[in-house]
Amino acid sequence: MSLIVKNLSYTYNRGMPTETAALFDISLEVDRGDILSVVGHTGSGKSTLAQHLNGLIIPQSGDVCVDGVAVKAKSRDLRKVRREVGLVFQYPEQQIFAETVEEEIAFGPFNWGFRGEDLHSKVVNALQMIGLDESYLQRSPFTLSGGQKRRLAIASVLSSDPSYIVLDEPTAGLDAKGARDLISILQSRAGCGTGVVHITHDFELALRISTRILILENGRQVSCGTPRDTAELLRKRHVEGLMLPDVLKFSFELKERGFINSIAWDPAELAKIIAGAC
Amino acid sequence: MAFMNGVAFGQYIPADSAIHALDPRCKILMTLLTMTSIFICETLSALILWGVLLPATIHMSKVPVRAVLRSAKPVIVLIAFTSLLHLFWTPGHEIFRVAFLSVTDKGCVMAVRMGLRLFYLVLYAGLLTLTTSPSELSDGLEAIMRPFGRIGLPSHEIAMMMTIALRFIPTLFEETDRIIKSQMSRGADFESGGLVRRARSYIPVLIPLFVLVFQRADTLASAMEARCYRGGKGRVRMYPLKWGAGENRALAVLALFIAVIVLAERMNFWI
Repeated sequence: MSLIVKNLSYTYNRGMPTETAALFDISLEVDRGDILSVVGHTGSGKSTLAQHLNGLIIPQSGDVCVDGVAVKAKSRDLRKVRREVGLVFQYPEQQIFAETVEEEIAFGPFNWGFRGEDLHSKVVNALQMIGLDESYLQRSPFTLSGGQKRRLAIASVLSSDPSYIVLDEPTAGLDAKGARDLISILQSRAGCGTGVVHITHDFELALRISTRILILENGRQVSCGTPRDTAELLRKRHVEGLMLPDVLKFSFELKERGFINSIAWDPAELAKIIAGAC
Repeated sequence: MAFMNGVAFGQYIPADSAIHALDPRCKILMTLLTMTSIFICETLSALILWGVLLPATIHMSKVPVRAVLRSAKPVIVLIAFTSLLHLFWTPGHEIFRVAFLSVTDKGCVMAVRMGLRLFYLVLYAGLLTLTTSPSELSDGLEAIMRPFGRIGLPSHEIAMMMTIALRFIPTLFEETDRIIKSQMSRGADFESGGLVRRARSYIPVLIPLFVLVFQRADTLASAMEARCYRGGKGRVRMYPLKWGAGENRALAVLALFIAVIVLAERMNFWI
């Protein structure tokens, strides 16, 4: 049971003068409970990839397969796929429409056929996941703060209990605390067995929270591996528009000069390595 | 923009062609001239001549034929309907009858004529918007309307409103597309159910869109004010319009073409 992408390629406006290739030959696999971070510069194809994962874009070539169900044009399974894979767009608070927080969160599960007590418990559950209490249920979503709106939008996807959740730059535009709160929501979701695909251009964050990291450069897959393998690879290869954390760069330098044998991106870990080497 | 692909608007297709390079004022004037002549020409043969010019112009503009034809798609029904009306309701020598509908010789000619006329109008107008970027278009319109400022027509303001509206159409399409997609990800279904249910299903799209539009309008107004925008007086252009030999030549060619058609019609060369 996993979300599998195989040799996926996609070109926008195929056959028109404005044709632009967005993805070439991408392959990845996400298991439930994993956090896969997709890292790349603006325009590297991250968002196009995200929309493939729940069938909003049908693959032109290659396959997308969710728990054994393939995403195909006009297939009845498309809704099944969308039910299993929740997609949170960039600035998801812009999709908010309902008069109350309750109605907003209930929109998803209601569409999937939940009613009455089931529906209510799903709403309350999702509200708890994002750290808000039931007193918020009757408030208008438009009165919430920026960070709360963002979390509400994410709750409105989580409320459908998707097996996988794909988030496109979920921390964009949030302050440090808002971003931290959000990341801990993602981590606790993964802990409960949800597969998380986290799209970001913050490589430091990706190293910190992911089980695997996929790096995109101009629509091509540079690598897909554990944070350690990825960091090791980036010691030798430059990737366009990717900012390496200073601590990691520092450990590269130290290793280059023969002071230490392994690399690290966490300050405490690097300190430990240096202490061990002295 | 997967869900909006069917809608061709603000359909500018950039290309490196002689027509793209023409001054927008020239292109607007030429389009107006062409449309007027197509409207007043009487004979079928004149229409055929216009039909010869059309592919030549499309070829020169380097715009794909498909894109040009697509600009006529929304009015195809209207054209067909008009043609049918003319086919059945023109008095003349009856050729045959279907129930109470009689088809006359003149009716046939009229139907073809009206159909072609409308078709050409749409295609020539489409060529203008396909080869002229929205900003050039409104610059050109502003310049053409400027003389009417004397009688109180706020030409700059009209052009500015047009520019802003045109500028935001693609943005709003993109945003609508994104909102539709994010509601679909939450299981929204825009396809099934009756008319009322389907209309209702668009509420979760329209409300966020309205909120966004107001926010954008607000931001834009502040940004314009921050840059001291105070209307058109004394503004200079970043890209001044240039009328040169090429424009004169283009107008001359069109004028000659029209003259030939008018002459031919006057002298009853053809039907």
